[in-house]
Amino acid sequence: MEPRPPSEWEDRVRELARQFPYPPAPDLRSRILRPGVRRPRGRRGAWAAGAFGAFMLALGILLASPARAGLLEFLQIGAVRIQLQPLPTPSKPAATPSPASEAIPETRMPGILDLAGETTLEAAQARVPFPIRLPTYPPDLGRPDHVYLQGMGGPAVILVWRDPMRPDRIRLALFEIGPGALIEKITPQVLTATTVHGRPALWAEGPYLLQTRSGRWELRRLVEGHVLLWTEGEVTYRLETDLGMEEAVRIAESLSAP
Amino acid sequence: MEREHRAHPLEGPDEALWEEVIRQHQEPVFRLLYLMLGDAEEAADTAQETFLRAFRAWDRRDPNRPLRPWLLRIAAHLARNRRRALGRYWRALQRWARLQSPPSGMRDEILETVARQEEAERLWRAIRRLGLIDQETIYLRYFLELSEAEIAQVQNVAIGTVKSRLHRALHRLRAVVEREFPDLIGRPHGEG
Repeated sequence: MEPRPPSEWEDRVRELARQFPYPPAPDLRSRILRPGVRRPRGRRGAWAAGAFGAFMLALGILLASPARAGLLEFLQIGAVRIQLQPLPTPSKPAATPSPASEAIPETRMPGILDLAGETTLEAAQARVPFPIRLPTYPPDLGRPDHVYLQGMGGPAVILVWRDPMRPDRIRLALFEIGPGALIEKITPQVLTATTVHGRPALWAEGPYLLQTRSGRWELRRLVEGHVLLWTEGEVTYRLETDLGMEEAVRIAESLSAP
Repeated sequence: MEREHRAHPLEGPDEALWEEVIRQHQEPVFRLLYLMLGDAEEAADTAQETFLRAFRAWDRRDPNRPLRPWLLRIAAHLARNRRRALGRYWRALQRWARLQSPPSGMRDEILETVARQEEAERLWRAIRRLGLIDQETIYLRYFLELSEAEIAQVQNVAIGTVKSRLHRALHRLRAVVEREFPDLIGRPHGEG
């Protein structure tokens, strides 16, 4: 075949590009500008909306007009994005409960042991650009039993403490997620605004994708309980615990100084 | 009548202006993100984030420059970061997301489109074998039909660099197409 001159090839590319079948562009104005015309929210959505308002107040984000208030249909705290309602799909009702937190069981010890990136605290510290901080509360907690270093678009350290009373369970899991890490979406069934050291934090429920030794990413929830999310500087912290929110905040506020 | 794609002289976008900005530019922003991310839902999500960032950065933009390249620059930056950062993690998340929601029918619809659309989609598949900058440059020039000067603003480079990038990207694309989709080359419009 005789090569075509570059200009012909360029014309061919242009011609094909013009035929490209884009999916219909969504009208972002309905998402961004007019919260009043969004799909009806389910009970969880209304719940989340209340928490959203409280959280926005806590954040001090400018909400000078309905347009500005409507800019967000999700909360983002550090590396974690939380959808306040499922994204629109043709046949999925808005009020359908997120299957994530229903279908994903907690990870028992044999499960946690197959997570990729197990290392030591010292080795992890040598590889992340932020100081790894440990809770000093509860006083008997001590050093983590397992330390994992995973790449979630940025370095993420996972600290795991076993439950001494229930060896097959995890007492506490603390994710310390560095700058540049993935913005992840979860649609929690429980969402409450709170604070850590006076700064905005979220109390939510939902599983996370974690990498196993086989190299696969799997949706895991390390502790059957809730998740406290907060940020300090460029680091996002995520604490999984079966304790109540007040205790979780106390643990969060006990992190050793960087 | 649509306004010129020029930055508005106001210091910050009031509600009416902001709605107009979104209305005018949401389609090219979404299309670029769809081309770069390959997922309509993710493109819509990132388009939303693009406008959110634009809103926040409104007072920092250069009001003497057109708005669309500035918005596309934000969108391309977000898409590049996502694609670079996520890798296998992102693909796993997408697989999971697909499991959570019924298929939208979009892919089936694409598969059932007319032959020209199928050709265009095969070209897209070829483009996706290229590096991110090559892809972005081709999308901006031939899919969104931006001028070289506008692309220079989106990519924050000189026009000469855009010309070089286009030349290289077309050359590399042709190599991929010759190897994997040879029928796309030899059939000019209107033949066969």
